Amino acid sequence: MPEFILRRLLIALPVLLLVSLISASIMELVPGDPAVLIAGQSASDAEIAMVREQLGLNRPFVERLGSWYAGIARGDLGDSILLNRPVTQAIAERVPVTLALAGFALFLTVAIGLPCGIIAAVRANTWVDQAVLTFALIGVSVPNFWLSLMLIVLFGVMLDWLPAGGYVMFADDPVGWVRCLILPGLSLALLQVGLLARISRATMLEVLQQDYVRTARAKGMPMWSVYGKHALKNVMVPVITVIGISCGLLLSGSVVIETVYSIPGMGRLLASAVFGRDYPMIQGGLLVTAAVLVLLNLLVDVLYALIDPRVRYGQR
Amino acid sequence: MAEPLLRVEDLRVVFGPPGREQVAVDGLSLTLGPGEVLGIVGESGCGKTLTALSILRLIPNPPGRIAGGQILFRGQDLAHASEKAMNRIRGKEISMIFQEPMTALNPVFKIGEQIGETLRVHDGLTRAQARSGALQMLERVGISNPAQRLGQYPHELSGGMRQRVMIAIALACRPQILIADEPTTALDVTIQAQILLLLRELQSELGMAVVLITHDLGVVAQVVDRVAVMYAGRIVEEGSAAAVFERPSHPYTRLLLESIPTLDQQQDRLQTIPGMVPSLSNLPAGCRFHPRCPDVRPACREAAPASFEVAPGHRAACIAVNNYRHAN
Amino acid sequence: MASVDSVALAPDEPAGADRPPSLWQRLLGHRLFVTGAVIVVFMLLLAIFADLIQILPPEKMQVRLRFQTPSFSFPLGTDNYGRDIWSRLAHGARLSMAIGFAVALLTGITGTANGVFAGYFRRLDGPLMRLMDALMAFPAILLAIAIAAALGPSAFNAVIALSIVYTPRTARVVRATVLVVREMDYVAAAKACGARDLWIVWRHVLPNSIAPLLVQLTFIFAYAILAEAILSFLGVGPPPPAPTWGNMIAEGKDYLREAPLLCLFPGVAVALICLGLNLLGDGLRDVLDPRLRVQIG
Repeated sequence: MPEFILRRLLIALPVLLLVSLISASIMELVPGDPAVLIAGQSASDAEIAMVREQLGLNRPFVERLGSWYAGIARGDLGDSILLNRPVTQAIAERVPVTLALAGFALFLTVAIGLPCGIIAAVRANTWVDQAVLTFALIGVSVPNFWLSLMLIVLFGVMLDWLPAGGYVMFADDPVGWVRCLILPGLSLALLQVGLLARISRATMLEVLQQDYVRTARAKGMPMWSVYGKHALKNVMVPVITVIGISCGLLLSGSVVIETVYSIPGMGRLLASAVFGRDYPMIQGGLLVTAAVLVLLNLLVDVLYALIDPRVRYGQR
Repeated sequence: MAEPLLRVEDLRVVFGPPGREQVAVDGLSLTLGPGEVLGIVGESGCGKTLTALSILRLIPNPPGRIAGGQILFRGQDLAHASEKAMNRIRGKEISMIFQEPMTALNPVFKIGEQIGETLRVHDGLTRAQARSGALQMLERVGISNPAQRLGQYPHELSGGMRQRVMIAIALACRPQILIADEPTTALDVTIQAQILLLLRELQSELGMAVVLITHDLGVVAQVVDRVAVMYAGRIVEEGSAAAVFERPSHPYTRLLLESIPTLDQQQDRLQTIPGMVPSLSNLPAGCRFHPRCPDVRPACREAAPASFEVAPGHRAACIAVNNYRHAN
Repeated sequence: MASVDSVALAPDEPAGADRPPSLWQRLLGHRLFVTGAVIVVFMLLLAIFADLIQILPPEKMQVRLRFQTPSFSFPLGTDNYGRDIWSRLAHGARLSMAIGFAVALLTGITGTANGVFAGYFRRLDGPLMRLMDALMAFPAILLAIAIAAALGPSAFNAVIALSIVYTPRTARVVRATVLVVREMDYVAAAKACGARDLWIVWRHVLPNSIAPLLVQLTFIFAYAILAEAILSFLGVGPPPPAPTWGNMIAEGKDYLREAPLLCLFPGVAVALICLGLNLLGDGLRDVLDPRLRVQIG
């Protein structure tokens, strides 16, 4: 197993290197002079020169790249132009909020999507199956930011059951914290619920055709064991991969959802960095999220190998 | 013979949506005595596997289902038993092993768990007891290093080993009946012989009855007491192995036996049965074998022949047998 | 030992010896595919004939007729500038479909090129696929926003940004097919006959990739429309007053309390077209390549 993890890590390294390179290159895409754009149309030449100096735009790209990597090595991703403070500091402050939101959404995804998909497969071609499929299809089609707005109108404004936005710290008010997360969590989870339900249904249908399920039945295993143990553990193999992908989608979605619900997480931080043309913040944010996702996928691979012994020996 | 352990009466298995059903097993009856080894022989698709699966009610439904008949096991009709009652019988009273040892074991559970859980479910053993039970079974089916094997996954074992593990699972609870569906077909020839030998040993040791399903007459000749030959969903001949092999009475059985290549006879080419197995959607009227039968008579096209006694305990479903009997 | 195995007889073999139905017949017999096709064609007609079915030009403001509820003259009402929502919706369909189609087309080309090169020329596989992995490592929307923001908000730049984001997903699908096809005997035969690599790719590898590629591109069409709405909503898509559905929702969100219909209609439009494309993709997958599982963006 340690060897397996090491092998995966070796594949992840070049990806991380490329990820950091792509993050660093984002500013190169800006047509014209980024300094003018950042400083604004009405800025004086001196102001523009100062921005240029601050971002190192007067140095060649290769040199800037060198200091970018030197910074990464020191754990320094530069200073945010808008917030006037280190990017790492700003991100570290926002990460727990996004983790809480994404974690809650992931919980909803697994708690709703997986059982729905499995029940649909067990009751294939009945009305239960049809209902799950329809729900899942709607889930993957409805834009989450629009769903958020509709939920806000319905539950936040018309019924006034839940807060229409904002965020309170768990430490300050645990109940308020949960109430704040319900609508954004649901909005964020809907797409993944749809995806997971579809995948787990398809996988379960395939697994139920397998000989080993028939063996389990021939052994006289009760229904809960045939479905909940023998079939489920095999279903979990691809489902774990999907959950890994879901984590990426959840971080993607948090940019939009946090903006709509005014939640002070990383997504909103990055969205406002985009509007404010805060390139150091954009670059740092891209790097951090991508690195987190690469490591998360590493974790998924390890879980995968734990569930399916064949993976460990490279037989799959 | 004493009261049979298992009696299948007029079993009908159909496939397809209601209204467009195709009959795969048509009015099949057989009996199995305690400790008896019965072979069911036939070509692929003759319904022998379906017959086996219906005894444990494992036919995939939909599309298949038991449409009629009774399966009496110690007085209980399995064809109409509840799923719960079936689960008390499966793996405990009647066990089954399958053709493909490669796919029949669950890839994500350890061997020990797959054997042990049967013991825990049926005999209420604890984890530790089940573990030692599994260890004993692995030893009994001739697996080397059983203690180490318990912690291994199926993909770490060879095909023959996996079939031994399947047998260990099936026999863990000492069932009364073992149904073995082509247990050696997927294995190498040398391994085949070992597995058959093992089955034989275990059968006499445990005193269980065995239903051995195969298309391989060589296998049947080695281990079976009684044999039933199936063709297109029906039993065409049934009797003791000796009687059927020495005096095959149905033309189909005769042709099957003739198609076995032998060493003592110099043969230029293998004998084959002309024609093809009929498809379920297009079964011939009358005797289902008549299009391929070498001595077909007009009456064969009219009605399905009844089963006639050739000798005590030896029956064949062919009107030629009847005529022969009357002529004597 | 003797084996009496002969022709296998599948119990579930369909009755009769009818000619197998053609591709079109199978597609038209697929209920969900037809539903999806009807929705997509409806949206397509809306997009094509937007100029004919509009009641007013989409950017025409009527200060006195702001926030009109649906009526005979304005079937879906008017927005905060008194613009006709129906007309804006129709033109929004044109923009959304155009952007979605352009992204699907562009990723189709770049993804196929990447997939074929990575899958067929083994030496390129490592570097190309690591690059694709790296692009996939970013959350899709975040990368698209960053690129679109850097390039500047416009429809063209949205297409570029989304194509960069979705290329790896297409490349993976194509590469997987190529890896299977290149091991086929007929490719070896073609090689033995002295066929050149590029010819083999064109003649043998590409045709086999078309089915999974088409399925994947249908889904990417849907993702692109969804993502474009998000880009517009966040202000990095085509800038207002362009009548994109995302812009309409973004503008409407300030009037959620008073006039929720401003947000409702464009959102339903996005959901509807995505639903249609998803159904279309599911149907295509079922018919063209049943072994493919649900693809994930």
